[in-house]
Amino acid sequence: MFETNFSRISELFFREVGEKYDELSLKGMIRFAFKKYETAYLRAFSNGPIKRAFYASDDQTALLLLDVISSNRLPDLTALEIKAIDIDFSSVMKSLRGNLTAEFAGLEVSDIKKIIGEETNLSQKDNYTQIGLLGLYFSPDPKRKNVVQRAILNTGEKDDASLKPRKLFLEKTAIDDSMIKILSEASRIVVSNSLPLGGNGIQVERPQGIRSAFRSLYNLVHNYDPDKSPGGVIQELSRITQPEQGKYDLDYRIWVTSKEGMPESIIPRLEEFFSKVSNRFTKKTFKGMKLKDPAEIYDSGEERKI
Amino acid sequence: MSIRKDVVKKAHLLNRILHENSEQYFHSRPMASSRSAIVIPEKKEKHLFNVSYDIKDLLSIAALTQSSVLMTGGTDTGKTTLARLAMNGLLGKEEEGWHRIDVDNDFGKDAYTDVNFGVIVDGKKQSDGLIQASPYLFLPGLIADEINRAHPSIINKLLHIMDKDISLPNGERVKIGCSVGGIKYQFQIAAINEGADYSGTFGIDRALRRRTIIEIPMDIFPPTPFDRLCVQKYGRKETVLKNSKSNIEDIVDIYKEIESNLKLHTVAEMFTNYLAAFDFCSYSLSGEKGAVQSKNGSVRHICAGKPIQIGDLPTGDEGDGGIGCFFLRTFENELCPYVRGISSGITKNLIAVSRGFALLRATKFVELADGVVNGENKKALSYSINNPDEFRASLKSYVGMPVEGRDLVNAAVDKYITNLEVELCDVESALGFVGYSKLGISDPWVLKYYQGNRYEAVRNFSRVARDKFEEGLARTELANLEAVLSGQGSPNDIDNIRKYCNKENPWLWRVLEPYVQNREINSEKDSIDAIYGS
Repeated sequence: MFETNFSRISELFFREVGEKYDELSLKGMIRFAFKKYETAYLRAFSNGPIKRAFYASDDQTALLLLDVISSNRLPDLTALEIKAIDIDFSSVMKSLRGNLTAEFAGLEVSDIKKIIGEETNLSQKDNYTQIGLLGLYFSPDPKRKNVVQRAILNTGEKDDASLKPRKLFLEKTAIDDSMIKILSEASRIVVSNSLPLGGNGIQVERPQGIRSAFRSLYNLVHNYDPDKSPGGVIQELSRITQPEQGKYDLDYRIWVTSKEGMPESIIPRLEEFFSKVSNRFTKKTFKGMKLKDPAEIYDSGEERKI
Repeated sequence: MSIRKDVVKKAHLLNRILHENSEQYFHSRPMASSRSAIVIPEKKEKHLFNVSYDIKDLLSIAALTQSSVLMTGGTDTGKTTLARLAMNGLLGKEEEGWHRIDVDNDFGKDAYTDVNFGVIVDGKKQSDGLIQASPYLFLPGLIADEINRAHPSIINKLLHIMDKDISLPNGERVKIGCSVGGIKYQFQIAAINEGADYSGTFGIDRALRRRTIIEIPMDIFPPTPFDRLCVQKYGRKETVLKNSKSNIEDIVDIYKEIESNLKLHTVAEMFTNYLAAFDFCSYSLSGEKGAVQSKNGSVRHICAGKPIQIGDLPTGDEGDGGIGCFFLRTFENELCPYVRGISSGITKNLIAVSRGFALLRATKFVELADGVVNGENKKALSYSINNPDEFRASLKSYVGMPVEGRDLVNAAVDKYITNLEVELCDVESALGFVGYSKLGISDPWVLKYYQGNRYEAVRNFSRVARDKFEEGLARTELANLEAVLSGQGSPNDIDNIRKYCNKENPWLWRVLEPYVQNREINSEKDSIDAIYGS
């Protein structure tokens, strides 16, 4: 009865050229989640419940998850998670900070020379060698001699003791190219990082940008002290796995333990990680965002698809 | 079937004539602007460009779609002047191409009937035409000025004129308008002083307002400082009607062509239905806002608490345990109960006017393509692009040929016109003027959130509706939508879509359901054929 060409619907979400689609930036996506949260929850409830904004790329290769709470009747971000498959390993490794532990399956000492072109000086006493800041631990294997079991990298323990934790957290890149080559053989890498809010850690700046002007006004009126520590810790946990040779998956999560939400100064750090997958998100991803109870998203299995 | 290229050219020329003829009227404030695009399906890309329309474009659109115009606003906004200049530009001399009637308390049957004494002289019966409609009613243009200066009882007469169907005192019915190309055509412009500041006026009858298709609230689009300076320097006391040539045949040709051959893009078709779906009410006993007694133009009073349940009928409310209707929290400013969906009549008019916007968009694209070749990335009240070099590259991809310069412009224009359809952006542009007073929006709500500016309220409704519409189509639950609507989806696919819609986007289900039903009706017919044999 109706003659309608339904294939034309897809044109709505074709890649838009000619104008920058600002909404697809991380800030745009956070803003969008905040706006939805405000509309749906903050008008009806004095204290909005925690909700998770769920952005999935069209090809289901990347997810961005944002945990939103209400703080002073305004939305605030308490956690961000990026999950992606088949990432650019080198680029992601250069963005990692903190304590690194890598697990290997079958990497022999003799292979290291092939990888980085240098002999390794193995300490027979404790089966340990150091390449840059990377400490490699071996276990003797009767069949294959010395096999690398795990690698540990603890950034800033020696050389960077004078640096402030904030600098370590936000700016220091400890992993160089030779380490990346070795770590690319790892089956699993875990990097954890944490920083107290306030004090020597991250100062909680007067909110701007993604929070509303009202919030700034509120804080000014209430003698807001930007140096006052609100307490809490920012924690960062990155997991990289290699499900098949040369393919790496990322699970990056950053969250704050205070009730205040994340400080604005963390945004560049978040954007650094988001840039690894941002090209996978499209207008369709953006428009199709879900804002739901975290359990609801988990129960539906959507989070586990990647 | 696509629209003829010469029709777009004629529309371009007519619009230019209207603009030139009304250059004494200074008004450079954009009335509508939209983002359109050239679509390159092979690359799954679209290159955006901006289009804007001025008040004279709007009158061209009205004339080319035979949509009557109601201009409202205070005195001294130039409503009558503009109406006369537009009529003159398009239809030539007054009394030859158009007529202006002043509506006041003396307006009655004498104003639109004539006595033909020749009937008596010839010895014929009175029924043979003693009383006939005034000749001006058969002109292609009509201006009805100050229509709210007449008493409401007199307005009834005008109602029929706006309907283009009047009955004479002898009971004879007459279709008014000019017969051209096998159709009756009349372009009507009505003007009123509206508001509490105007003594001696009456509130315009709602039925009369509904007879007009495009409303232009002049007070919302005041002249710019540039316009005021132009008036000061070049403004004339007398309006000079320069044109003596009628373009009625071209206008009718364009009107007929776009009515028959300018189709709606699938997304525009669905979005128009989405706007109509806003009559849905989860708490209404009938599922429609129309069935609920409204208070101050809204049904907000039924959104709180629990829905009334009759028998075992499900209410459709699947909120997440909040207070009252979940959909109350779907849009900003609790929009849902304060806005009604567009009616079938408005939908019809909206599509007609959207066709006009699409046609003029094509003429602006022609200017854009030409401008890009000459390195002009912006033309006031026409088009703008951000990066001419990038756009030129996209144009080449669009035409799919390695051509440059004039050849590129010609190829791009040909393709654009061949593929011209009414797009979502055209519907959005048209809605502000077609739905201005006809869209059911609560006045107190407009006053509270939009300073009483209905135009902005309608535009914002269109924006949030579009956001929700796009959200629905982007959701993973609708990943197999094309297959479902084409009759190739699984019951599980339909179920997923229905679940999402029931819970978060019931308006979308009202758009999709008819297509699914269409599939079901067709399959039912097939099975009957199978039983009886075809």
